[in-house]
Amino acid sequence: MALPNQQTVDYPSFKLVIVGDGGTGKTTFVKRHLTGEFEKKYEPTIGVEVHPLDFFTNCGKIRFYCWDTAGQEKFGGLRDGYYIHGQCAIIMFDVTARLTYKNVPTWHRDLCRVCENIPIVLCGNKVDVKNRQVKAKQVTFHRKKNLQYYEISAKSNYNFEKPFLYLARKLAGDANLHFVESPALAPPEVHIDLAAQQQHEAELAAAASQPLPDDDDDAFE
Amino acid sequence: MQGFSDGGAGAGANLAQLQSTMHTIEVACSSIQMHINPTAAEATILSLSQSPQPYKACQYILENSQVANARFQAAAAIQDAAIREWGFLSIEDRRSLISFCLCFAMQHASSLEGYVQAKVSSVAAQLMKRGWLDFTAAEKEAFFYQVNQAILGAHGVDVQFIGVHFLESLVSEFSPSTSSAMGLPREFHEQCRTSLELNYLKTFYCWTRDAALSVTNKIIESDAAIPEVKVCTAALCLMLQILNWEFRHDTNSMKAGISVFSAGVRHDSASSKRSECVLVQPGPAWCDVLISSGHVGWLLGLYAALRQKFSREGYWLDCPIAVSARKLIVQFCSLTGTIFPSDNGKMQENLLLQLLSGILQWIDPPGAVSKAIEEGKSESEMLDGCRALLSIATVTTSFVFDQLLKSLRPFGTLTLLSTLMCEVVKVLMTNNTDEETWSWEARDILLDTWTILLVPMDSNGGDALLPPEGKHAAANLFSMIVESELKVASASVANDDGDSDYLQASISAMDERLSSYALIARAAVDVTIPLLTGLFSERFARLHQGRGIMDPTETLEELYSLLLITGHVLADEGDGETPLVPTAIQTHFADIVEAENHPVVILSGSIIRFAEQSMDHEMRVTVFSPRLMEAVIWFLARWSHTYLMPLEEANCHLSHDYEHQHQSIHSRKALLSFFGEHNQGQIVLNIIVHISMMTLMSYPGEKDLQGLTCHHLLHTLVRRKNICHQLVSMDSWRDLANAFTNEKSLFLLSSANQRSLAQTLVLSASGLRNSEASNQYVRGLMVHMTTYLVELSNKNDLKSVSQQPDVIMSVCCLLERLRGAASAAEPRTQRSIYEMGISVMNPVLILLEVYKHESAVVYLLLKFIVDWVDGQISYLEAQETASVIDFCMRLLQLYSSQNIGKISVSLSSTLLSEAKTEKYKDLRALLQLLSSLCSKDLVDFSSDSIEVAGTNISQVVVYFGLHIVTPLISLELLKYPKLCHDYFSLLSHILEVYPETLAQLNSEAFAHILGTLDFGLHHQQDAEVVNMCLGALRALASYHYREMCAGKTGLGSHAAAQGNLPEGIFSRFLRSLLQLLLFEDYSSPDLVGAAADALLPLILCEQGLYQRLGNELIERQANSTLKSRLANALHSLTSSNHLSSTLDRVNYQRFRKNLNSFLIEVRGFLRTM
Repeated sequence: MALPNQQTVDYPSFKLVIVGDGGTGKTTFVKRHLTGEFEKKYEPTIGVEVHPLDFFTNCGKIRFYCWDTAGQEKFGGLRDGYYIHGQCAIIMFDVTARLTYKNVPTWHRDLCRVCENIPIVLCGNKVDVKNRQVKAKQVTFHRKKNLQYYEISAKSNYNFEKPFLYLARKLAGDANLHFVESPALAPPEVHIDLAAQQQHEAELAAAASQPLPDDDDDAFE
Repeated sequence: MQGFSDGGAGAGANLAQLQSTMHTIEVACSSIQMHINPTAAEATILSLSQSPQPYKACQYILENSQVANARFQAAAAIQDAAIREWGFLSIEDRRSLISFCLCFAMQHASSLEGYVQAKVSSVAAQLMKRGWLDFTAAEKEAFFYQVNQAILGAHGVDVQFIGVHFLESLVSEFSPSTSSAMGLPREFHEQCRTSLELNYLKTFYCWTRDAALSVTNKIIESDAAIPEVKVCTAALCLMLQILNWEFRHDTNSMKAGISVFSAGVRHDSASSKRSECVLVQPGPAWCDVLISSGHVGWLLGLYAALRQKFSREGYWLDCPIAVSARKLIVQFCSLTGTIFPSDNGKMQENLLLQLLSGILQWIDPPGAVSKAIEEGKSESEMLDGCRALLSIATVTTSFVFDQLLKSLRPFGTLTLLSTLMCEVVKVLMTNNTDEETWSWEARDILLDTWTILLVPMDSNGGDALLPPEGKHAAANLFSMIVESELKVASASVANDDGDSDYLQASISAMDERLSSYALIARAAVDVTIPLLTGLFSERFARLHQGRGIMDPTETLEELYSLLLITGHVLADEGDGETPLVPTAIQTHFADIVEAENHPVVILSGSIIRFAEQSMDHEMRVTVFSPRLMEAVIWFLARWSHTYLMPLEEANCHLSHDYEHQHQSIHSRKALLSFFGEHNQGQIVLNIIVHISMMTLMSYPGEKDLQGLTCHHLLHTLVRRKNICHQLVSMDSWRDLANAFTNEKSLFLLSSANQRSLAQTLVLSASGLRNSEASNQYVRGLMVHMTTYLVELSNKNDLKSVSQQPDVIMSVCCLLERLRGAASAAEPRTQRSIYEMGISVMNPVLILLEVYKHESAVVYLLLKFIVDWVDGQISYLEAQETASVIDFCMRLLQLYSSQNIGKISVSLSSTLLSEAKTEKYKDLRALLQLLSSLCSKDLVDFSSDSIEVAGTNISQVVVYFGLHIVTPLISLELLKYPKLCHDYFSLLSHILEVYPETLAQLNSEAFAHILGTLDFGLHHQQDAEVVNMCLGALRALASYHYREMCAGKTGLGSHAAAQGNLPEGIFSRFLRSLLQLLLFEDYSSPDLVGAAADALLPLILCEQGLYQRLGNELIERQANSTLKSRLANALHSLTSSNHLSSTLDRVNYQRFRKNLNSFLIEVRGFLRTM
């Protein structure tokens, strides 16, 4: 489904809803895919922000319209009102903050009430952080609910394409679908900072798949 | 947008107005969906739910709009408005809203847009919970009668479905993990939860079961998918949801103790390691419904019938009804606790047997099942079968688990488990991809099953003993696992994708897997350890024979893998403690008397001898690749932690196995003493030190290998005092220390490794006989470094010399080492480390000046000082403290003078953000420095009291610290979560402990701090930050109030209105706190408590303003009923519960209560737009 204020595309596109508590890294995750940058700062999302993300698969290009929703209640806007007609979803929590995992059932419940039987991926973000509070073994929710679970790190790019690949396979009904390299793109114009929106074609290029050097000096301590 | 309201409950809204509202909402909903001008559309929709009593409009939209989204939003608006206004809706209004929603959902049950009906029925459920404690039993009864009728199918399948859906929403609203807060205190939710569990849950289950039963026959008899399937699926889901309820009133299970479950069934309190497992414990009341009624038989029968239909249209392995049925069956496998009578587990065993016989077809025979999946059949049934085995393992002992199958098959369940997993491993081995296929998942589930069966159950660490057949099964499986791992390892040579996933998460996942393998191996050590020994020696031989002839890479990869597996089998991870030799290894091999013949000694010995060969240059070049060396170092670290000079060598603790006690103690002693201090221990230790030194010197640039050596191996050694004692007397250790000070190649180690090595060497000083010797050792180690820095900083041409790259490198390297030494401070070596720091104080300041443009050096300087102060501060005498503080203040001033205003807006955005990131790291270091200094007040080991000489040293620190550091912290920087957190914890600590210092600040610094405090109060995403700010505010206000009461000035001029601000600070905070509480987002019950604690002293400080604000609030209310309610509520806020004007604990608690009731009473109508 295309959005009128964004150029329509002639390849399959899907509405992807991203939910989860505030500060779990939803926006950073989307941004990482969009521009390759990793945002250390925290600016809460207000309401919802919609970004198109394109992926190249062996069966052609597909687009996810990512509805990056506000996690904080006070900026929630329409909350479950944004989920309507969602075709797939990502529920994000932060493995370094237990509470964000405790709230997963509520996000899931609200999501399923509006979108029946859509593929959903549960993502535990920030697994690069040393003292995680939610260990992989403690994540059991997906087992109860038939969700796919991935440990991800938007910072180090660990597993960062997995959620999209899973959703793409489910939506295409093709378990063997895989992503292929994006075609080479012209180097970006000089002014990149403000043009981020229009530049989404250029994203998934090499920059995005490079892990960041760990600049925290306290690794190993 | 008053237009959306009904204009009060009584006034009839006219049709035209309703239609225009509907139209507006419809337009807004479409633009949301198309994402055109979403902000305005959102505001329009939200204004509907925020307007007073919008119910008529909402109901009109629900009944008339053709736009599904609009109906959805109308339902959402009813929900928001009713929850907000609940307190002043009449009982009749409340009832009719619920009734409307329920009826609406049922009347439109067949509508296509299911999500609207789902939303409406969930609104009914939420409102029902909101009124749960107010409604009489009869009122609830009336609703539930309607629901029951629907569920029984009186109004057709669609309505039946909605009825089930409503109950599902209701149960989820009452379940703690999914309940909506609704601004109500915990007690409310707790009461509702208890009430539902005790009085309704079982009834709901029965209704749901009956609904499913009522459609079962139709489903089984019909050939195609029929509408009843949807009802049955929903019913199965609800039953699953109810069985997922966290039952709390299984009262007996808490007290019953072990006797009840003596024989086969596990008592779950013993299974702390199983916190992640699902256990279903509904208690004795549920026995009739779930067990004795033959319910499980029906469920298994239903699934068996569905299985027959999978080939037909409308049904397949993954169709919703099949998925739900399987999940419910798996859930039944987790049933445990007092629902079963105390009959030695008979009834539970029977139930499990019944379930197992149903599940068996999903997984047995394993070969055929896996073949079918590989040929394209869905894996979900097989995976559910594995999950069922996991559940059964969770509630039984390994003995009962094994027995279950024996009545159905000639072998036990353990054998099936082993065969099944061998099959899965085989598939993994042949496919060998990075993709997480079904075999990955199956392997993980089955490994969990083994882990649960094998993990030591009692606190003595006694292993779960398997029956002989089970041991055999475990041994078979382990050899299969090793074969597959080796195959994967040698195959990995071909696909060279490097370590793209070399990340903590994937390492720890692998570690977990290896730990499970180890448990399986330990279940049959007498077979598996010789197996490993054999595999090693084959590969050693292959290496020797093939040297120079064939490419050893595959063998190296196999050895790599074997080392990891063996390390896990032989020893546990310490987790900060010294791990014991695993019980299985301690207790087996009782017949071994000669230590040299002990299989563990043989295995360890062969690996150590192999490792030793790396010392030989030629061997190293041909065989010991850096990657293999990593595994060697890892193995040595893990192994030596358990086996090298163990402390338990002398005092083996008693075994509970008395028959073999004598013999087994003997063999254990033989094992433990073999690598002890008086036996082979010294020799092995010497080898390890030599190998470590070699990896540091002969593998230049191998950062990971050297990291493992420094952080893992050497660090493990110096953690143990008896080993340090040996180390400091060894020539090899002296060589390492010498190399550290003199050897060029060790200056090339990465910074973290430099630091760690310095720390390790300093820590080893604890092995010397007394403090004098230890200090001398440290001085000898560090003097070269401090001298270099002193000399460098005294150079006349420092300015030019310092910028030479090699000088910068040396400085960095030395600072890392100093930092490492500083962080190794222990009472014994504190003196020498203190002197080390003192000797470079001046150089540090000089270097900070010289390197002000080298941000990396600046950061290192700061981090060194932070670590040094942190390690020293609590030991320092008053005089020393004074000079350290004086130094820190000079450092802070210097840093501040170099950095304030340094970041200019003219820089490009990327540069700007880079500069900010660097600054952010510096500032965190400075905050840590201030925190350490402040800690002197809390932890102080010095001999003279701080009061004597220093007089409030922390106050000085705080005073200067606040003046110097806080101006560097901009609101923009506070958006970095870590910095934000550090800053506010320091600030709240300072304000709570030294509020009086604030009075002494100049007005600029004061205003800045209060600005950040205000920022923090609004910093919603981090509740901890808000809490800290509220704590700080409470401290400030209460300090001021107390001082004023005592006739002093308190915060003096700061508290009063100043300059362009018309009000004093407490007035401003009183206003904003009230605003946050009444109109904005301080609604979480956790925040209200902390906010109350801050609000009380603020009110006491500013009583006049508080009165005025209260009156304004009352005046603003147009509605006279609400006006008087508000006036009353305000009155009781400050008067009920005998609230007084003192600031003691009791009074704070009273005020917390008052504020809670006040908010529940008035928030609803105050927040209406």
